[in-house]
Amino acid sequence: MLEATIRRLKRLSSNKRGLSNVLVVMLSLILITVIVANVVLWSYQMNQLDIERMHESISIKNAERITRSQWFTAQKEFTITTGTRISGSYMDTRSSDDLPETFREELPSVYYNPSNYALGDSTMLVSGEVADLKTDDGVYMQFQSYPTAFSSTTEIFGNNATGTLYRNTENTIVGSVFTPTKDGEAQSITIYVSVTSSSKNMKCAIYLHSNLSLISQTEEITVPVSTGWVTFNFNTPKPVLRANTEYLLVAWARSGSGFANLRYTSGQPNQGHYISQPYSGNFPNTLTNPIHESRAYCIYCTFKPASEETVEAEFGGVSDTYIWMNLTWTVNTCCNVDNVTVTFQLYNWQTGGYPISGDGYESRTIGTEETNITQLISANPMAFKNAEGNWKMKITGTKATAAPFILKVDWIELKATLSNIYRLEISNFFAIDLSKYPLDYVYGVEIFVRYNVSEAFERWFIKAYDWASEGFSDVGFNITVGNQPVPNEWNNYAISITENWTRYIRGDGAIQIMFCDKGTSENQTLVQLDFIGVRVIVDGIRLDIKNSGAATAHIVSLWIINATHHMHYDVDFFINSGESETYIRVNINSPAGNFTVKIVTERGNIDTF
Amino acid sequence: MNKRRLLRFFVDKRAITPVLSNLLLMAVAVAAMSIAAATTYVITTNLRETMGERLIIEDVWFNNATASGAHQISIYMRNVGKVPIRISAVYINRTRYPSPTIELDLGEHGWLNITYSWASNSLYYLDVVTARGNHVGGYYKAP
Repeated sequence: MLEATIRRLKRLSSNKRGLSNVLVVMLSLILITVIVANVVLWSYQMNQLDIERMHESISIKNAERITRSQWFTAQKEFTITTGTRISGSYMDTRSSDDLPETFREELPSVYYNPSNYALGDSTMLVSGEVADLKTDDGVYMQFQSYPTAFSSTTEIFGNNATGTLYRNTENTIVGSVFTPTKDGEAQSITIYVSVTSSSKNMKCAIYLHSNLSLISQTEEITVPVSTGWVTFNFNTPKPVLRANTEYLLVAWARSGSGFANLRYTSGQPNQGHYISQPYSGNFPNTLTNPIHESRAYCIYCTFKPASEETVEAEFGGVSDTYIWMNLTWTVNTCCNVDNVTVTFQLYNWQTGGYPISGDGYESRTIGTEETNITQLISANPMAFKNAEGNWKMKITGTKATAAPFILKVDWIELKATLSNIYRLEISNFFAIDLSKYPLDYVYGVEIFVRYNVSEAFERWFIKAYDWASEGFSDVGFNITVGNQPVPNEWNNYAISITENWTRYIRGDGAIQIMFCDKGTSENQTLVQLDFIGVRVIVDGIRLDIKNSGAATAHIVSLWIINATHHMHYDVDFFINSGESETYIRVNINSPAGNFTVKIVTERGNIDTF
Repeated sequence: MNKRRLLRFFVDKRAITPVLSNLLLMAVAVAAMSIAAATTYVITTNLRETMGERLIIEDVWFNNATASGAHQISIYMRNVGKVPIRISAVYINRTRYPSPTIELDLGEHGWLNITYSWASNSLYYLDVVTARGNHVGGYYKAP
């Protein structure tokens, strides 16, 4: 047997026609395999499609005609124009469950903050801006004081040593930079000078080193030939110097025979300054490009230290032209030092000045702790604004000290009460889901409020914001006379808007609702709001669909069928496996009478209801 | 040397016959396999397309309120298969009736209207046949 097989194989290998036969058979097998594999694979895929379709199970549990959307409720807290929130939150107004959000009527008030300011005399603004005064948030406007009274004794700052080296001051402005440690009033400048050959006209001056601007210059003196200290007095008004500020003290001499040498000792780098300038009657207002050197010229300033520091700022704003029943002003302030006497004055436009006592005037000793200063003005509050509604307040702080201090102002507010009628006016935004209820298929809007009042002396109103005229309105409402509630009971107040309702819905579906009293009662009322919501009037159909299959179902077709019409609508709606969903369609004019609803899935399954 | 070899190759007539015969055999083999492959492709494509057809009848409307006033049976069909479908024939009670030829791409759907004088409360067997020979149908009772 084995021998026969081997013999045949040998014959096959030696027979060249055998190789061709093998190739043909193999190629044929490959072709058959490709055909069979292709058919089997495709068959498998189609079988899988059929199995998925068989396993899909979608059913309509309920179908009904709808004429109203669901209620759209508040998504954020109410804006209170007038009134106070007592308890609860907007979440309590989203369901009718006797758990309300509670508000209380208040006297209607308006609030104003400064919109501008002005610094008094030499007061300096350290930091902040007027916008920082709108809230009590620890962000201040800070003002630095300036000296307003001076000691009778004098002190000096500068170099009073007697140097041996010198620089000629003829036609040359020469001096050095020094820094006083106290505020004060400069009295004179003294120099150690050596005048040779002939007397020289000389004068001195003080410059602010930061910008080299002239602050003041002294009298002119003819200095005889000599060597020694010479004092030049400042004329009135004498310059006020600020502590810890760099000043450049300089001397200047007219040219003549000999020299006018200003002595110096060694100084700090760049402390000395000089600039060639032909002598004239007045120092230049600014020094341009002086040459620096490490010299402390023998020059000093005599000054009277400050005995009192003052800070002064005036704030102004614009209010209104309404009649004010009373006025309450509040300032929150503090200082960086203790024992600063601060006066607050609200300008009286009738007397034409700031009051120095009584209404519009307060004086307090302020320290480093924040303090609220409040005053209620009940008598003639209208005197504190002019016909255009302008008002202004001056804050002045003084302290017996030679060191400057800082006044910090955190908050300034004027609160004016407009009447003695208690009011409540609240509003909120409600968002209509336009993806479910496109405006093209909406026929109107309904608003519903469930509320309880402690007093029933007045009617209550619902208004909606008219986005076209930019104001609240009740045009088109079926009820415009408001609702008269029964006190201490739950009252239902429903509004329907079927005419011109589009003006109340913004493009993104937002509708702003205001709930308010009529504004006729002097009694303060407590209002409990249990529910407030908005819904739209539609004509559509609602389907409750359940997917009890194992895979997500994609509904692609909806049929509304009655005796006379078979209406087809394209649908793109997915339901996860095992879930029940509600499908709402408002762009369908559901037929009158009985009708059949049919849905079709993408896999080809159909269910009817 | 090389010149001599090249000359001998051209004058040796015995070498031409095997080369030509091999080339001819290769050409015949390639042509035959190409025909076989093309045939295979055509056969498998037809098979696949036939197997991939899935057509459903979403709705049947026995309509007596047409614009022309004629009775008609409207069949709404949807292609839920994996290949485009062409409707070639409609049979009502196993009798072929003329209908517009419509083509439905993947996922496409549409009406197929047949003018037919149907009678209320009668039962009709509707059969829609595709160009590939598949058909879908069922019994429908006129309202």
